[in-house]
Amino acid sequence: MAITARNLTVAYRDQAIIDDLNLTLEKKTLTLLMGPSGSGKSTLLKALAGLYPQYGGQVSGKIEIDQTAIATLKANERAKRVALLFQNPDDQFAMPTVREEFIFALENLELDKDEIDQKTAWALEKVGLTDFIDRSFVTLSGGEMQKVALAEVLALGADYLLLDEPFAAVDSQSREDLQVLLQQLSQEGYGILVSDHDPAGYFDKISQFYQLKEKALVLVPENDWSQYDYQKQTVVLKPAAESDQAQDTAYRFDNLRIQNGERLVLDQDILQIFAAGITLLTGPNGVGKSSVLKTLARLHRYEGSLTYQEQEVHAWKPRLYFGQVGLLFQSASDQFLNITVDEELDQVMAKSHHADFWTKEILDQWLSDLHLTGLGDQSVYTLSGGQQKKLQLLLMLIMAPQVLFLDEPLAGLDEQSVAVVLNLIQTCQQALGLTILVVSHQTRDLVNIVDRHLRYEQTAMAYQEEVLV
Amino acid sequence: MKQKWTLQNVILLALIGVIFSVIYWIMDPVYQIVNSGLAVIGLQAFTNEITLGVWMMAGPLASYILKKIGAGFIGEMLGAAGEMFLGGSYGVGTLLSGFIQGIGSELGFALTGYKNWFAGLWLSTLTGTVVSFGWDLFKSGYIHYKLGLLVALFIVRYLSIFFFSGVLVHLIAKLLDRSKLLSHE
Amino acid sequence: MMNATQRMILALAISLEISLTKSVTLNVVLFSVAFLLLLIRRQPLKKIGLYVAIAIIPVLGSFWSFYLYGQGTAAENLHFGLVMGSRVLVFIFIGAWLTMGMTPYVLLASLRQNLKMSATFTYGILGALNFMPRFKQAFSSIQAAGMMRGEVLRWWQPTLYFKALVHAIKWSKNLAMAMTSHGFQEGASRSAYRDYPMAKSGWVLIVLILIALQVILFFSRY
Ligand SMILES: Nc1ncnc2c1ncn2[C@@H]1O[C@H](COP(=O)(O)OP(=O)(O)O)[C@@H](O)[C@H]1O
Ligand SMILES: [Mg+2]
Repeated sequence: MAITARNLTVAYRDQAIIDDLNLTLEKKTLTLLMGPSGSGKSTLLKALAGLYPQYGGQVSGKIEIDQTAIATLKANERAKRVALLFQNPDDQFAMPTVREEFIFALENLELDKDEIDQKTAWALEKVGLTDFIDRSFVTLSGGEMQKVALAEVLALGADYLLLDEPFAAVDSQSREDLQVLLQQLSQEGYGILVSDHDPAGYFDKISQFYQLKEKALVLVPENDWSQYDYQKQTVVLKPAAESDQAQDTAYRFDNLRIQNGERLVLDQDILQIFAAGITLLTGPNGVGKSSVLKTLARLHRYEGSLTYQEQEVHAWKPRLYFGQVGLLFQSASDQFLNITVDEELDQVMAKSHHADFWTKEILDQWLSDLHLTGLGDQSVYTLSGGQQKKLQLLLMLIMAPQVLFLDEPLAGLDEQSVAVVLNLIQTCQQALGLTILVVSHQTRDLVNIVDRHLRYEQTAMAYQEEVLV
Repeated sequence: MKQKWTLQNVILLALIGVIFSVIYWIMDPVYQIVNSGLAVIGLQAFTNEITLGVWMMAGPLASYILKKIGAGFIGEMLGAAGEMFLGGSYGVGTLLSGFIQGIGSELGFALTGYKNWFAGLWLSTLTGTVVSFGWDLFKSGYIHYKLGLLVALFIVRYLSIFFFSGVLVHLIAKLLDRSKLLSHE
Repeated sequence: MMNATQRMILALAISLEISLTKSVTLNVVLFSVAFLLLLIRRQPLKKIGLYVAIAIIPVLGSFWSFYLYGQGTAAENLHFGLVMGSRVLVFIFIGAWLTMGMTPYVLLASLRQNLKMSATFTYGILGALNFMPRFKQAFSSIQAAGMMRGEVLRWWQPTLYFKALVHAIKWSKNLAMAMTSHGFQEGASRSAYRDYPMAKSGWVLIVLILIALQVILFFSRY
C-alpha cells in the first residue's frame, strides 16, 4: 500500500523541473522533503496529487496509488485517497466559513447530511478545532487555516497527505503543534509527505528524509540528518564604525501597532531604522515580517506613529513617498509593469533615480553576471522563478530609490546567483548610499554584507549583534 | 477553442466579474460628478452616453479572453450582480441593465458564429450600442427626444463603448496575449 | 414563503415593469412597501440610513436631468422627472429587499437547485467571491508598484486591468487546484446538504403581487 512514482518527469513549457524521479511513499510513514525554493517541491507534490497535466504541468512516467494509476481516477475518487495542502493557506478554500467549506468538500463525495455532520465533527476534533466550525476564514490565523485544511482532507478520507511548505505563514508555536499532529497521524497509519525549506523540529519525528537536488530525489541517511539542523550557529556582526547616535534616522517607530487580520503582529515602543546601510530583519516564520515591510511601504494600515523623514508615513503623498521608497515584493510578478525583459529594463533605465551610475555598460555587465543576457524580447511571465527574482531585483536597484525594502530577495536563486546578487546589492548600496532593509531566512548568505541586525520576536523588534545562521 | 467550461475558466470569468463589480461600483459616484459637471453646460443628457463604455467592459473582455460561448453575457451579469451586492446606486436596476448590456455584447461575438474573436469584439461594440440604446429608448424615455439629439446621443454612446469596450479591452487582451500567461491552457 | 430564486424573479419582474411604465403612483407604492418591509424585518436603522444616503444623489440627479432639460412641456417634464427619480428609489429599495438577509451563497445555491445551474458555475462563482477584498489590496499594490517605478497607472490605460488579470489568473488556478484536490469534479453528481425548495405559496404570492401592480397601474392617474 503506497503511492509510487516511477521515472516521473514533470515539465513546464518543455522545461523539465523534475526529471526521471522515483519515489515510494508508504502508509504509516512521515517523510520530509527538503530543497531550496524553486527546486520543484510544489511541482512534485502537485504531480503526485494528480493535478497535472490538468493544471498545466506536462507529466511523463507513472504515478500509482495503491496500484491504481492516478491518471485514471476522477477528482472525487482521488480525494478519498490522496490530498494536497497548499503552500498559501489563503488560496485553498472555496467557501467563506469552515462549515460551508466542509459541506462543499463532502458533497463532492456524495455524502448525505448526517455523514457530513459526523465527519466534519470528527475531523475538527482530531485537529483540536471543534469550536471553529462556524468561524469564517478571514478571522483565522495562518496556523489555524492550515489546521482546518488538514481536518478537511482527513474528513475526505485521504490516506496519503501531501503538505507543501505548510508552515510558511505559520507562527512557531503552531508549527510545533502541527508537526506533533503529523507525527501522531503517521503513527495512526497515514502516509505523510511534507516539503519544507527549514528542517527545524522535524528530525525526532520523521521516518524518511529526501533532498530534492538537480531535478531528482536524494535519500539522506539517518546518520547525516544532524548536519542539516542549521540555524544553530551564531555570527556576531562587527559593531558599526560610528556610534549609532551619530547616524541619521530614516524611520522612527513610536507605539506602532500592526494588525494582521485579527492578530496583533507588532506592538513596538520606540525604534528607529537608520539611514544608509543594510539592515537585516530576522524572526520566526509567521511572526509578521512581511506585514511590517508592507506597513513601511505604505501598503498596510497601522496605529500609533511611524515617521519617515519626520513625517507620518500615511500623511505622505503616495507619489512623493514612492519616489523615495521602494519595496521588492515577495512575488516577482507583482513588480513587473511591462511584458518583455527589454521593455522592463528600458523603463527603469529611463526613470532611474541614479541614471548617472547606471550606464549601458554597467547594465550589460550585470546582466551578463546574472545570466540574464539574451532574454530581450521574452515575456517576463515565462521566465523561471530564479530569473524572475534576479530581474526583479535588478529593476529595483536600477530605480535605486533612497530606501529599499527587500522581502526574501534570495528566494529561488541557485548558489552562484546568490553570490552575484549579494554583490549587486552591496555595490549599489555603497555607491549610492541607499538605505536597505532586508527580510530573509537565508541569513548565512546575507550576514557578510549587512551592517545591522534587527531581531523580531513575538510582537517587537530589537537590534542584536548576534545572527543565527 | 475548447467549448467545455472548466472550473478554472469559470473562476477566472467570475473574478473578471468581481474586478468589474468593484470598478462599476466606483463608477457610480464618478457618474454623478460627471453629471453635475455636464449639467452646468446643459449637456447632462450625455452623461450616461459618455460613461456607458466603462459599464460594458466586463462582457467583451470576458469573451475576448476566454473565447467561450456565453462568457460575455455571464461576465456582464456577474459584474452587475456584484455591483448590486456592494450597494450600487441603481439597486436591482443594475441587474436589468447588466442583462441588456450582456446580451448586447454577446450578440457581436455570436454574429461571427464564435469563430472570429477579433471581428466579434468590434461587432460587439456596435451591437452593444444598438441594444442598449434600444432599451433606453423606452426605459429612459429617449423616445421623447428630438431626432437630432438622438443621433448625437447614439454617436457619443458608440464612441464611449468603442473606446472602453473595444480599444481598451483589445489593449488589455493584447498585453495578456503577449505575456503568454494563458497560452498553455 | 418565497425562496431566494423566487425573490430574484419577483425583483426582476418588478424592475422590468417599472422600467417600461411611467407611473409615479406605482413607484411610490413600491418604494413604501419595500421600505416598510425593511423596517418590519428589523433591518438595522444604520443600514436603512445607508440606503437612503446612497439614494439621495442619483434620485435628485435623475429628477433634475429630466425636469430641467426634458423636451416636453413643463408639466410633462415635472412628471417625467418624478418618474425617473422615484424609479431609482424603487430600484435601490427593491434591491435592498432582495439582498436583505440573503447571501450570495444562498442565492447561488438556490439558483443551482431551482434552475439547474451547473455546479461548476455555482461553486466557481462562489469561490471567486472570496477574493473580493483581496482585489482591493491588489489594486493598491499595483498602483504602488507603478509609482515605485515612476509611473502613475491611470484607469483609462490597459496596464492596471492587465495586472489585475495577472492576479486573477494566478488565483483562479490556485483555487481550482484546491477545489479539485478537495474532490470537485466538473460534471460529476454531488449530494445536497440543504434544500432550497420553491414553495407553491411563493408563486401564488408573486402572481398576486404582479396582479396588484397592474391594478395600481390601471387606476394610476399620475
Ligand atoms: N505553473 C507553472 N508554469 C511555469 N513554470 C512554473 C510553474 N510552476 C512553477 N514553475 C517553475 O518551476 C520551478 C519550480 O517551482 P516550484 O515547483 O514551485 O518549486 P518549489 O516549490 O521548490 O519552490 C520554478 O522555476 C518555477 O518558476
Ligand atoms: Mg513551492
